[in-house]
Amino acid sequence: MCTDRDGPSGYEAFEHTADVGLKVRGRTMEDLFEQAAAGFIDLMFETDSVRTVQSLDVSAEGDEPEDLLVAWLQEILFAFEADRFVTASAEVQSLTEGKVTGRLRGEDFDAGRHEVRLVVKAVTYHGLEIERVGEGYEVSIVFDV
Amino acid sequence: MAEKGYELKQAGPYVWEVPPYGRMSVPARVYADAELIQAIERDNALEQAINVAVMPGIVRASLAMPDAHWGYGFPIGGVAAFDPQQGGVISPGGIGFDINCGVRLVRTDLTEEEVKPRLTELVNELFSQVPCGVGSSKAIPKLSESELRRVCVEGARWAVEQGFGRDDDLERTEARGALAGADPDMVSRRAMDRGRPQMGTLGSGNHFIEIDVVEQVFDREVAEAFGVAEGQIALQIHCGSRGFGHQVCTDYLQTMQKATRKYGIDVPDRQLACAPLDSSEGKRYFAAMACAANYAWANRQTILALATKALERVLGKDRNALGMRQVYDVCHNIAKFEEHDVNGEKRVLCVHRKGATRAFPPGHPECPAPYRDVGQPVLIPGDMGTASYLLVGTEGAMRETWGSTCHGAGRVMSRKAAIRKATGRSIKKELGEKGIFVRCEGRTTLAEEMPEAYKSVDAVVSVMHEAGITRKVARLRPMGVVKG
Repeated sequence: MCTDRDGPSGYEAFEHTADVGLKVRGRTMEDLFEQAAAGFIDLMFETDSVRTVQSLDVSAEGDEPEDLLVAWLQEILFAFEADRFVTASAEVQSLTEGKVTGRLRGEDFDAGRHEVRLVVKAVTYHGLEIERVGEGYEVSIVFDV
Repeated sequence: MAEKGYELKQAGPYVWEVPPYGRMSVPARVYADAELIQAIERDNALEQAINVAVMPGIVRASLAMPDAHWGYGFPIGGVAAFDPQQGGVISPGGIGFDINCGVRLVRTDLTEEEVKPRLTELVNELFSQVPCGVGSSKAIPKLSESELRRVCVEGARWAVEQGFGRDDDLERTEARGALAGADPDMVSRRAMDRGRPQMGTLGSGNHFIEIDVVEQVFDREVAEAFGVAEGQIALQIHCGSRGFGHQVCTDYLQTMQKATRKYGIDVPDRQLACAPLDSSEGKRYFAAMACAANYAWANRQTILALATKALERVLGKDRNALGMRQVYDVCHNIAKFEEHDVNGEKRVLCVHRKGATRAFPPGHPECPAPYRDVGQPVLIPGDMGTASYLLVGTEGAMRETWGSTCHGAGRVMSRKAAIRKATGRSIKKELGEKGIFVRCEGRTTLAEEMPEAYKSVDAVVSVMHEAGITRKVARLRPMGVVKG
């Protein structure tokens, strides 16, 4: 779907009978989190129509890196469902053991202008294992739709 | 766990079994015919049923219904009972994100001939009365927090008290539309925030409102007790607890990741994270899950009232004159404490049904009074182009499946594959040629939900009929469909 030419960084959607999955690669853990967010945003919204005129600072906690990844992606989902904020890009500002902070850029949802590609119910833990691959990381994430 | 190498044996004409191996403490048992078992095996659903057989305190077997397909954690179409006395657990992944996703069926006195000329108008009016898409909620103003707390405890009764529907709807709803043990203090702020604007909304994906015609009655006596006869028009609603339930599940999956480590439980998949039923985490999740279940019942009750308004407006008659009466409302994603017979002994077990429907027999105290002599109605929504079924619960279900049966056709094709298959076709037109008029919010929903993406609902319900778990009462054919 979208792969960085310089190395193993990017994401691609994979098929699942009832749901939708993303296979994500990152050069670093931060990169993995950002690529996962980019893939998730791409699944949910037609981002061409979203202007990055507002930002939303978010933070999430979790014991293990997998917990943290799920919590991080949930921030994007929650921003949309509760605050009607459409995210076009997400940047990790700090990632430490147990906590991630970041900034979502986008704007308030406008049904006339924005297109929702896929309504996602939740980020699942199904088969979720972040693995070290070469110099980087890899993970597969299944979303409940 | 669940590497290839399991042994799958036929254990009866419609039952297949994987005997325990590795860490399984009970067998995995699947209800299917020779064709459906292949789809289930191809799809990882069997491996998922095997994984469930590893969980602490599981009783007798990890069950999969014929509509089982690859879910996350538990298979969709999975049933498992856990014994609190034997270290049994509760697992949010065994219920699903859409807590109390379920179906409501309403019969009418209308005939196909009366509705046909007004069908387009009727579907358009349903589409405008019931918000479906992206969290929108024109119909019901955003709930205050105190109101949402009432919804959590009172369920469908809250909606009836707001003027949405009638008391007799409650009598014909599983658990009378309110699961006991709900505690709104166990629900996060986030779930509250997601739930407040979404009351009275349908959601997207496979959720729908349908106008159906009762095409065939298989069991006249039971159909009569349910108020259903051939040629009648019925209204069907399929939806759940919306963002409220999704967030409750999300929150507690995180709690359960910790709990699984804390109690030293080793599960083969993080989505199977769980806690002992008697632990504080287990009790808190149950209390929050009950709130979400009650939200879903209030939601379907509210949607019924909005849909009734649409019918009244288009047909110019009120609910009584239309002969609208609820047949039943059942959930197919839930965990409940129920009394069951285990080796001749009455035990209270926590029965998880994920994509499975309760199917209690005649005489069961939880079977509503008007149906006590015939058994509990079971509603099986099919795909939008084929059919849905009305079934009835039996003693066989109590003996074999903890009073449970299938929940639908079950997907067989991924959403992407369905979109690919629909390329260059108009699903709306194809359905139109079969006399089915569809209105849909999402751009790709029709392709994703195309009939070929599902197994044959006829085959699925026939397996449960032949296996003596649920009996066929009536087949309903869709005429008008509103999709999210």
